[in-house]
Amino acid sequence: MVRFSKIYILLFICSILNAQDTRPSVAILDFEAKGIPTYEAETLTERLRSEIANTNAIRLTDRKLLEKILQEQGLQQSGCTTDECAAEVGQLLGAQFIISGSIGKLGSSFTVDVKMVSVTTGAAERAKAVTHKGDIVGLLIEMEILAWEIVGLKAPQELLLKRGGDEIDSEDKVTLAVLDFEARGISILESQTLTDRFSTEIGNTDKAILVDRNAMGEIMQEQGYTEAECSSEECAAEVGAMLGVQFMVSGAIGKLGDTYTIDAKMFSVQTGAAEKTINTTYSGKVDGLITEIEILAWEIMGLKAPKKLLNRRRGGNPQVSNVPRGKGRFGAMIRSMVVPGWGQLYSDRKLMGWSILGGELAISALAFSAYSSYSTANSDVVAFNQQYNNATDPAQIADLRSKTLQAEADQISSNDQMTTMIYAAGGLWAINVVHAFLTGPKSDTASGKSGFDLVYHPQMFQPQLKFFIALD
Amino acid sequence: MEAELKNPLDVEYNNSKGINPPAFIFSPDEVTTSSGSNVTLKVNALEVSNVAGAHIQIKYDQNKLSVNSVSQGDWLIDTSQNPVFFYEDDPLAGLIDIFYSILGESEGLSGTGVVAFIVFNISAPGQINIQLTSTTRIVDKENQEIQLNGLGEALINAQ
Repeated sequence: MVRFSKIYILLFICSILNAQDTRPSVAILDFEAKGIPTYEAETLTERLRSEIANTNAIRLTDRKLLEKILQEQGLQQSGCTTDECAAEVGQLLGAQFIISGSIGKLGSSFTVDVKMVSVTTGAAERAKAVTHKGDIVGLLIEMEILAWEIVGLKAPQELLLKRGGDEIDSEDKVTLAVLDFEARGISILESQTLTDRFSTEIGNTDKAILVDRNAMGEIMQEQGYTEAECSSEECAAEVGAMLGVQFMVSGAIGKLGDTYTIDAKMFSVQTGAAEKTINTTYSGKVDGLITEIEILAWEIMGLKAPKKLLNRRRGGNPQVSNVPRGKGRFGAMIRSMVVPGWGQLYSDRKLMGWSILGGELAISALAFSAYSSYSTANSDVVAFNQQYNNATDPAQIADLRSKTLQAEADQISSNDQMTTMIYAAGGLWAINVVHAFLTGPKSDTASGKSGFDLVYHPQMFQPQLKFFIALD
Repeated sequence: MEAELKNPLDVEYNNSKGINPPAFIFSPDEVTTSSGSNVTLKVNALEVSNVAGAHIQIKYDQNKLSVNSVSQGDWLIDTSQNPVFFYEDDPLAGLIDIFYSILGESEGLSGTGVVAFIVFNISAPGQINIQLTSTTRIVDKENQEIQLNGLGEALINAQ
């Protein structure tokens, strides 16, 4: 009885605290587990709870209070599956709505059914269902999205992008434009270069359709702005609306002593609200900012930066997707020096590797055959020459002379063949070493990068073809 | 290995030295030995035909060589014609004269074979040349001279 009173006192205090809050109060029951362990259903429900709080659309009833009420009523959260039970618990909690649901598994697919029941009427106000194919971890994102949708809101783009993962198609891509980052303590050229790298990396995420920089420049020119001047959200939103993009990204790169700061913000052109704000601090050479800004490009899209970028940030060797860690040109070259073709095999050029090895073996076999012939001919020369020297019959001498000369000719021919094969084997070996070096795994550091790039020159308002060679 | 085709009885080898059959040559034609030792040289007839008589004169360096013995070669011994064989050594002039002839109506000797064995004693070191002189001549059973196309020589390297 005493415990029951404490609960009501707690409820009373909560109602006083929330008296000024007009948002509807909602309690969330643990989802029913169908084919998955209960603890997994609880974990997923917890994710829904934490995300629904971020919507700011409801007042969430304290979970501990909910558990106590259910305990008093002799119910388990997952056992309260009917609308009536939910309405009854909601009334006890003083909540206006109860959210309940179930998570089931069908083969390799997971289903989530969720509904929001009005405590007053007992009717389902809103219901959502989602099917997820893949790992159960993917349900975490689905629960976050459902948290928004069940309260009647659209899930943030960031979440929708996360849901898409690698399977997202072009329709799921967002359109965005990137304004040159404001330079604070670094040169405008440096800032523009870094912005370029940021834009390129956003393109690499494959989650966004970037607006052509020329188009953006033209529109800004029409509006009488330069990119540098358009630093306010209003200006950016205006430009974004004219460009017809969903999002605009703006930011600033500052320098404080030896420390650089990068702040970037992605905001919705439609609402003007910030969708994502990220920042990073970096100490070191200005070159290192390139890696930082590339990582930020992934993060602002709500994605995890690739390992090679993170490794580069740590100063280690970046990983190339199809090349195991630590592989390099010199490793390939050294291996090919030891065993022809090994370097190519090491570089995952199996066909070339086996071809070179096969070629070397074939040439070696021919060289050995030539050597064998040479040895036989040499023995014949010695034997016939001996017989010739000991012979006294002129006819026999003439015959042995002829045989000796023939054996000698065979010996020379075999020797020539052997020499040719040795040269061929040596030539193939040399080609194999050079090939292994040239086509060996390239370390994806700055050194590994050289070539052409299409860049935009903001002062001249024109795209330019840039050729670059890393000098480190 | 490069073959050494220097058999003194090899026609081609002799041809390379300007000696063509019929001829008389030494075998071996080059010897390396030490001073004080004995060296045996064979005097060979090379592809001769119907030789009924021969006078073979050999010139040697009498200051470095001395003749130990001269004997009849297998070619003359093994034949059924029973040739007459004798020699003269003039140690002061350094000349050996060897004679053989087939008596009666028998056919002369033909082919290649050893006419004589000469054993020299080497008394001083150095390169010693031994030559068949142009006095050497052969005749058929009609006592008509047969032209010789070559007369060989031998070289002894005495150390």
